[in-house]
Amino acid sequence: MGSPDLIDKLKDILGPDKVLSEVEDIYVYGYDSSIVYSGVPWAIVRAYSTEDVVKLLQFADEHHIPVIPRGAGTSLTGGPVPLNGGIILDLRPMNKINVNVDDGVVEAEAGATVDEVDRECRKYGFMFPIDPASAEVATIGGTLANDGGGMRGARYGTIRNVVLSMEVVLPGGKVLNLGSPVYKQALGYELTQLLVGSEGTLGVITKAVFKIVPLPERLGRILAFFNDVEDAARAIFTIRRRGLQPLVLEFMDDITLQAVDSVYKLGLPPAAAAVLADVDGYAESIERLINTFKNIFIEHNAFKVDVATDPKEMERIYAARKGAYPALSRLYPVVIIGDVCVPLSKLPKMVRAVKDVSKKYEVPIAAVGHAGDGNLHTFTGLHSATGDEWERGYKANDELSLIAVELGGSASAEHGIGMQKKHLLLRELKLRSGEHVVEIMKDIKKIFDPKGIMNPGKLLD
Amino acid sequence: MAHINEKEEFLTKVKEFVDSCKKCGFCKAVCPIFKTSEYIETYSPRGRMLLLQGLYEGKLRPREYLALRLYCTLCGYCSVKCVSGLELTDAYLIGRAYLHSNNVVLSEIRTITENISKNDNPYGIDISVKSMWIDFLPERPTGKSKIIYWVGCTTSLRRVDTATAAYQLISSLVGDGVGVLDSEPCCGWPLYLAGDLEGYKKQLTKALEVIKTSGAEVVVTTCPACTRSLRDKAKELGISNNVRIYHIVEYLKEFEGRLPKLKLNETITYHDPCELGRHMKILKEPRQIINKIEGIKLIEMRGNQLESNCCGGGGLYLPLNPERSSSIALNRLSDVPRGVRKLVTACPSCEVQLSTAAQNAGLDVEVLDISELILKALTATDR
Repeated sequence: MGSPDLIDKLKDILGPDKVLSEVEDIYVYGYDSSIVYSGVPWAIVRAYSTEDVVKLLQFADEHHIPVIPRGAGTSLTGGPVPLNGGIILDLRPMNKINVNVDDGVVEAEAGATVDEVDRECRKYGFMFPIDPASAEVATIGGTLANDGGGMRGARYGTIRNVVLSMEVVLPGGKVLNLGSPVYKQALGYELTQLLVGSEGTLGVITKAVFKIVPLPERLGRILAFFNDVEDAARAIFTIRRRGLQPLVLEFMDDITLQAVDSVYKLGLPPAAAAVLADVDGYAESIERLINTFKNIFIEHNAFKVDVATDPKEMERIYAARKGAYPALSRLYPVVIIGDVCVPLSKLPKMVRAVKDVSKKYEVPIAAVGHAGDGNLHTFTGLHSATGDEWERGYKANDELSLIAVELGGSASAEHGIGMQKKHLLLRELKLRSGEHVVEIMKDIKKIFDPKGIMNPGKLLD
Repeated sequence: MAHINEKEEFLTKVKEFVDSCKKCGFCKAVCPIFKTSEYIETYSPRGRMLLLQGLYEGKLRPREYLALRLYCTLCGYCSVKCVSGLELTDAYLIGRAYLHSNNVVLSEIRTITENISKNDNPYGIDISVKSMWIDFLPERPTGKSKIIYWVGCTTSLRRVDTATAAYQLISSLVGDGVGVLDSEPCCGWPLYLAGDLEGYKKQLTKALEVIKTSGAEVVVTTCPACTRSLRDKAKELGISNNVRIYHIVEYLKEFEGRLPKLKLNETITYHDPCELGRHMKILKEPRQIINKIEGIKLIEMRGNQLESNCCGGGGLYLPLNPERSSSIALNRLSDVPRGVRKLVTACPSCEVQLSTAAQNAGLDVEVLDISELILKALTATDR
């Protein structure tokens, strides 16, 4: 495409206001949050309804034009970056939300942000279980397409665990209604789950229905500091081993704590690691829960444990975790964000491996994240996205991914594959299941998208 | 910011921003322009940073289409969200200066800059009108004074009630004659915002000269932009004089221990002007002053202090897109706590913007300047 005739035709079909094709728009929409990836789309279509998506996919199918669905463009892996032109499908204008308290569900269009959905649920005394760090901007569609999670992953996992049904538009414009908006369903092959994490390579998710959960009556927050990074990791393991279900269970290593303290001057004690836990429950039970967690931290040699139930005090001790990404971002111009997940029993080994790899490649690597579900985000801090330092950082990140897989985990937890982790996905799939799984996946892609126009160059493509 | 008329200079200045922006997009969550433009990425703070990057890389060129997307209200809320801690509005202003040096000046902006050079105010109104607010004072200011009330273009031409209240308030505090300038020029700030840095420097120098000639030792304004221009930016450019310049909130704060008894039984809310709050970091002071009033009940707006939502009136955005600007103001009015009928602020542009939006929407919200509130509390006590 690229030809003015086709862009004019697209404008005729959708209306001129829904198609952007000026060079400025094309430049801006060529990026996501991955820093190193960028592309040049031919045009941007702004969808306001499923009908708009249908019209575009019919047009794209007819003219063999790649379509790259996009929510907020906050992917860290190049997911919505156009590789070889094509049309960016901006779903942000589709943002209607409907909470159904009686049925315990919320229906949201793809372009609504996770935070908008959560705020709507809160009006009724409920909350949206999933809370990625980018919740204020990340869309429901993007979070589904990447199987995003977040801090409350310790309790609720990723968005896969709460989606019940969805509307999907396939290449050619066919609309599918997958799943059913009820808590139990047996509908043959689970296509709703297949679309989760498919990164726009099979079709366009236009809306979905999710489970919602009641707001906790009371919350408590515990922040524990450790002199040994493995003690902290073992404490997390013990919490889960004893069957406790915190709402949030976060890990921060020494580099993270130092970064946060140097940027925000919080007066944090020098420590090898810290663990932050949020517990929730009835007012009568909260103190007991807090003490249980506190005791586990002390058992694992925590030298300082802060506890808060007052909202202001809770916010204060949350600052150490909240400031992690901004602080690390301020210290290093370029950050490679890793996204591994390991079995909880292997968490101590994984955090130790981060230190070893950091030493081996001579690059600072901070480990921080939702360790309550075994998910660690590593931040490899660099000064440039080119040259030897970049090479070392890139290799270090790859090695950590391999270690996670060797420990029985995964190289990719909740940030998607995009372009950044394609080679890691292939390696992991082949290690775990052999070539056959890759072939099955490629066959599935062909069934949904025989012309290969959906977000080409991503995942296994 | 130094004068930018060379591409090299633009490249040097914008590089730090381009290199440091992580493109995380967290800034988009709070941008009033992004929200009111149906979430088009090019109108978002990240979009603006990418437009600057495109100019930096030479992949984009200065032109009106780009300028219309680079312009925003300069509210600075995006900087609060920036994970890299960047002052993003500084980057946007570097971009505006670069556009200006390439003769890309939007017609609405050109009108403002021409108005300043012709009439010494951005509204194109004859300069004589600028002193008409004085007619509404109970007594006319007399002779020279060491303390000058710098009324500013927007206060004098759009908020006469603020001007008269501020003058009377300052007079009652100092207990001596407070002067006003016979022919007060524009402080030049709109030229700075328009990226006309040469023009700004000339206008600012002229304004500072008028102050110097008046013999004033202290200047008090009701306009945060005038304060930033005459004091902060002048200092940065190395052209400030020895005159002490205050925004009325700062001036009242100086008097805090000596303030007369203030009493008023009102429930109010306070809107943080972006210039005064996020840019000048004057956040606690207006609240401390308001809370000096016996009987006052201050209920905070949803979104306050550093997280205050914009009124849509700043950054020269209003003339560029009145419709979007008005939507931003309406959004801000929706942050007024339920049941509160009085909104106090400390910036004439915010007052014009919010009162007009409230009036047009038929909302029962009265917008008043902090000077008006304090004067009222003072007068009520006198009785």
